[in-house]
Amino acid sequence: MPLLVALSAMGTRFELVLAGEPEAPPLRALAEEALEIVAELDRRLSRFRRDGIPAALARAAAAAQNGDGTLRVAREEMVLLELCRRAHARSGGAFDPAHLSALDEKTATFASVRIDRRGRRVGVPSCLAPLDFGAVAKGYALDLAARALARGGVRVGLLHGGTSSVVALGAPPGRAAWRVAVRDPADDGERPRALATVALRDAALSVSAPHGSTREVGGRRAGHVVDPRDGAPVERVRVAAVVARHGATSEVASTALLVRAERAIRANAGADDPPALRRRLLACADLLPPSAAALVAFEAGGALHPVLLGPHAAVFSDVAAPRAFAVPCPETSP
Amino acid sequence: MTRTDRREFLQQVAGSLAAVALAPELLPLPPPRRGAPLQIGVIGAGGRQGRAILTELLKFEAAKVAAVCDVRDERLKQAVRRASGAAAYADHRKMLDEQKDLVAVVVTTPTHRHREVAIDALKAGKHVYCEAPLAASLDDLKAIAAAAREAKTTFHVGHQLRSNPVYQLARSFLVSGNIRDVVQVRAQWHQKTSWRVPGDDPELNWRLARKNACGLPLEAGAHQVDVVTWYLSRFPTAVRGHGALLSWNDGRDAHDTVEASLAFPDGLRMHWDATLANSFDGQHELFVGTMGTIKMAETFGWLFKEADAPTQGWEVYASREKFHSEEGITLIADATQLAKQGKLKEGIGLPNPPLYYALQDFLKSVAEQKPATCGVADGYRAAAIALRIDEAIGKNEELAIGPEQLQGS
Repeated sequence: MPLLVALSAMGTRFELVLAGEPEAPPLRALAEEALEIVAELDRRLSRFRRDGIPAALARAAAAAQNGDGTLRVAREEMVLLELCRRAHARSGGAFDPAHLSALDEKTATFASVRIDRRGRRVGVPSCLAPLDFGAVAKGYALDLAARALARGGVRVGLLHGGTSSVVALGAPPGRAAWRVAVRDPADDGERPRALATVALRDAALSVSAPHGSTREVGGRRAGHVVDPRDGAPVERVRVAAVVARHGATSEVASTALLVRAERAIRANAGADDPPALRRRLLACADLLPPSAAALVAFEAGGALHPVLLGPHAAVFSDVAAPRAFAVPCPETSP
Repeated sequence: MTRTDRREFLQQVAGSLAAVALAPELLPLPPPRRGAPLQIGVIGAGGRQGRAILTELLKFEAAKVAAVCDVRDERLKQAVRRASGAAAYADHRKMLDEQKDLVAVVVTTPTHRHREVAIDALKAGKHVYCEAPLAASLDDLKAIAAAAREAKTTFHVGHQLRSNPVYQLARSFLVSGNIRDVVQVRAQWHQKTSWRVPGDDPELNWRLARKNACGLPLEAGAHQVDVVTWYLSRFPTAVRGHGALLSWNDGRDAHDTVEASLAFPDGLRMHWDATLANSFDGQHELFVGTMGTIKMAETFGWLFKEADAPTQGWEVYASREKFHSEEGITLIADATQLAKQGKLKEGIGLPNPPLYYALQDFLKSVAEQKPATCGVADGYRAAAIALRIDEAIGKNEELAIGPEQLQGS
């Protein structure tokens, strides 16, 4: 009987399922410590709080108008900002925590953020767009929670934030890995079919998808995910699932992959030729970190087409065949 | 009331904050050299609160954590990683001996270990920020208070709500008669947690053993008792209470659910309860008056007015929140400035955690030779009353609160 603890944070529900004696005080203490880490990162990374890093950087940006646009940050924040900087560069801007910049030409991208690792100082220009760490905050929180659990001796557990960010410790007793299903976006029933199944062992899974909420930015209604470089909404790529060693890296990769794949499909001059589109998507594998794997599903010709990327794509199994797909896109009209 | 009138009103409120400052304590040490950051040592740096303190201290240009101390090796390593460049010590005396340039020390060891460390730091001539509650026995409180009064340095007790701008603003509302006569005070501290720290050493779970007297009345209650006595400028005269172990039957003997009723002169009572079994409505303090109610919850505060309370012009601009059938006016600490910018709603909450403001006050009192926002007398009283609550719960009888608890008040 595993121990299950939960927390409402980052606008979703985090659950930790840990193997062991559930009533054993040490295991519960470790689980609670892991939840505290998630709660603390929720406070520090939230864009909705005045005492979070996004608000502090916005104040630093305002101060930059008078010459001083720097902020001292804690170690955890420095590591995350550095990871975002690298992901932004590696993805050619497809991943950008300052992604609202595309919708307001007066604002700057994450490339404008200067990071002084030794001085633990971050410098921002006055025109920096508001930061939104989004799903990467969830992945990072799960990483730090998993690290604390592992340090405390927990060898087997499954941690997730809102089911779209998952970190696996070890594997269930008698099994080679945790098996996690990726939901089929074409099925919005109560018990949806799986698009694929993922085998996770000391690894993380991130699932990014454009369906969900829309929001208004700069007087325009935008889908849940847009290309940070030009504001184009992601519409035809319906899922990007990435398995990597860590939650934060899988999150940045799945977000960037969703955006890059959409651009690759759009660059096909409107031709709905699934084999050609598939080849274009395979070229996006360079976004993946080493030893990562990905599953991308795109819509073409009224059907959903799954594509596997990366040398370790065998972690995905039971991948569905192309199937009819008629779920409408999020509203993206002006 | 026009917008300008409202600004004036808020400025007056802000001005009243200065008027309620605590009695000064003498600080004969010269201020540190201008321009150089204050060298600070943090003792107990690897624990939960130690980590939070290191994170907040990092934000101050005027401070540098030069040394960290923790008796546990793994925690010490983590503290060093957090405060990069700091010297590491397992023994606080060695740190005090070797780090001659330290100007100030933050004590964040377990509460029942404050006495030795705080007194050693004072004797070494350091300014001291001691985490609250101040100590876990009357003997320890008396010893620390005596050492602090003898010392020529600042002694700041970490009842951080006193430095919290939202709490300061709400107090000014209460003091200026906004809710008229306070007829009831309620405070609660609810969390769903085992309150356990991972690790095999029982000493790590010092809060769970009754012998340490560091249970809910002291660790949670002392902070809320301090807020209430600070707000009311009155002190309780008697307490009765009850406690039980209802949820966490895991070998501990400290209660996980407690409640107490504190009697104040002229019939006012404060009801306080705490539990580790349920998190509903978290931590808050409620001041019920004849013209309204003030609710405080860490970085948030609200004013709920009675229907017959007079309306003031500035309320037109106020931000409001709905709670079932009640509507609260949100108390915003820097309202004047934000109102000027038309960003009042963005001012809900605080730009930093409450701990930041307490450390800021401490650094300021050291640098400017200003009195501590929360001095040793305040820390003594809050802890002594909380210990009395614990005692009343243990004996299951009403106990008087007298000069021994209110020493210096």
